[in-house]
Amino acid sequence: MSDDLHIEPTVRLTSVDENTTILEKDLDTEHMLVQMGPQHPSTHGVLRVELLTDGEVIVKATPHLGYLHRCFEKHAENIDYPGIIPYADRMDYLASMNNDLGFAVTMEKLMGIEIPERIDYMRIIVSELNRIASHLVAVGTYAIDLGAFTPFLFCFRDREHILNLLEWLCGARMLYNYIWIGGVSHDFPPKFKERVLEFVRYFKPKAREIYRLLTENEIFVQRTRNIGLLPADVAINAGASGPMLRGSGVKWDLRRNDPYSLYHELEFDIAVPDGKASVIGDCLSRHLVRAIEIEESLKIIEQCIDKMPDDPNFDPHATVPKRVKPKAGEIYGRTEAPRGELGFYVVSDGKGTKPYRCKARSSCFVNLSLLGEMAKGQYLADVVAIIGSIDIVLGEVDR
Amino acid sequence: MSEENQSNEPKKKLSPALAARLEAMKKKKEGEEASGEASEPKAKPSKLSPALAARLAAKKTQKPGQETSSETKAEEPAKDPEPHEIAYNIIKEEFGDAISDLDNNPHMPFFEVNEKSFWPSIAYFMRTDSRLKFNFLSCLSGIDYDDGRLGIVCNLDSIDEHGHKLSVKVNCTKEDAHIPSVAEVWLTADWHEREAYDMYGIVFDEHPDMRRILCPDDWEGYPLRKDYQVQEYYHGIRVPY
Repeated sequence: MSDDLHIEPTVRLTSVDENTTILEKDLDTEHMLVQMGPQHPSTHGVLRVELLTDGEVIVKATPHLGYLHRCFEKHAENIDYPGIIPYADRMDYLASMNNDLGFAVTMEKLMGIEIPERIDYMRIIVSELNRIASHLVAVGTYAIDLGAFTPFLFCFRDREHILNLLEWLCGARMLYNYIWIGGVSHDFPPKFKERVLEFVRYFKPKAREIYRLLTENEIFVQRTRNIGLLPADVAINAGASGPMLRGSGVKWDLRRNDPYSLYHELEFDIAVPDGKASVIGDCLSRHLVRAIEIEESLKIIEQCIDKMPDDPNFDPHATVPKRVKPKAGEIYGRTEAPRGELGFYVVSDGKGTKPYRCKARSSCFVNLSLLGEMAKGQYLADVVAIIGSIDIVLGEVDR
Repeated sequence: MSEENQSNEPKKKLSPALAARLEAMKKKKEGEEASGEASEPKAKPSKLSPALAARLAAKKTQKPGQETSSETKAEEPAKDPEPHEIAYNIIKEEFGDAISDLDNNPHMPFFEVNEKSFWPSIAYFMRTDSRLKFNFLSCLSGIDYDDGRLGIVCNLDSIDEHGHKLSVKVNCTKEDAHIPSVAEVWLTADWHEREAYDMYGIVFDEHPDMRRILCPDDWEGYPLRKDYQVQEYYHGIRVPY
């Protein structure tokens, strides 16, 4: 009997037997708008995501930014060049050293300042220490987003050692203003190198422990594996950088591919997931890249301490220009910050000590623009996992 | 699953709107060539000169790994064109007078787009042509030149392909602050164009979602313009302090 029934596509056949045929009109599921944030623990700051959901599934995710917009670019046009560095500190406040390095390297290239080798090594040591600290926060808070509390405590315990070292170095725990255009603010204190080496030796087994704590954790893997897939072609086209791009299997690291400072003299591997533990391009891959990069940074620090020349009469201000007044010109300088490519587009009109235009290309800003792409079709609960894996710092997104 | 990452050609196909626009532009170009108007930019035939083709072939065979590209650049004798010069010549062959000469400064070599309506087709050509493959838009910044012109600066890069870099500038006037959008060529441009709109008031035509991004939607004026005057009150709150 059911054979000669014409069934509309919107009508569902729920049960058929010899005598009865039950037809049910397809249940019309309504889309629901869910506001996530601006005050939400898993958005890592003040970010609002407008989620259009169909039941549990995301139809569309639109991030709304600007809650932490502090007008970096407008400020930069009204202060002289060395004064910009404290503002750059406050962009990505978890990796201030890397921001300072990015701006200083860009300005030195524009002005043609040659700096001593020792300063280069000092800068690399502090920025790699800061990179480890930043990745520790990323890994720790990512675990907390997904409900694991212990790794967070482990990560923050070890991050504290780095912050203490950097506090000893320049007096500040997070916003350093340490790397200046043409130099650094202070020389290393006596025994600082030994203490850094001590930390590296202490931290090496701990880094392995943190790596294993999460990547061999069944619950963590279940929450992140095959979630938020980002294919390599989309990642490149959308300008993703840093762990986002490497997590998609693209071997691209500015420290290696467009070297600045003295990175071309150092040996390290570009961290790319091998696809055994994770599906390439998923949240777990991005987490793995960070976990591996911590160990690579330790390698870099060891080499720098070995190679760094000692000089008892060293003056860290020797090459700092008295007045930063570049000739008319423009430059786009970029460095590899923990979250990806940090670029500064600086235009100088040659007339004053203030930039004509200073644009910061923030890595998080571009990486976050991929959220909609990755969240589409995923479950609502997985959006938390995806946002965490992008590792955003809203200070850098909004600038 | 990992096989799908092998191809580098973006999956995202051109939308019908952009494709139609490009088609229309091509027709326009051809029409101009037929009528022979001198004032309008002309498209030159896209055939390569033999010398350039030879250089390209040489470059392809020696295509180095990413690690060595910067060293080889430095070691090359001064006469050989740099990778970005070769790339520029290819674009110049294709678009002729629509683009300006290469400003070959040491920090940021760039060229300007004279006729802004050509910008999406130049962008699409730069991304898709197998000799160029500018697949990575690093940064797109707006700028106010303070002489009645506004503009954008795009820093392009070919990652995982050729490894060359080149920058492009597109300008418009303050009265007619419109530039065609390239958000469908590079997804990066989407938010960066919104930012340029937010800060400079440049409207990107056919952008999928032309809203402010950092400032509130009802903010008055464009803060990074050189003649910007901050508004007195915002929702009853005094703004200048």
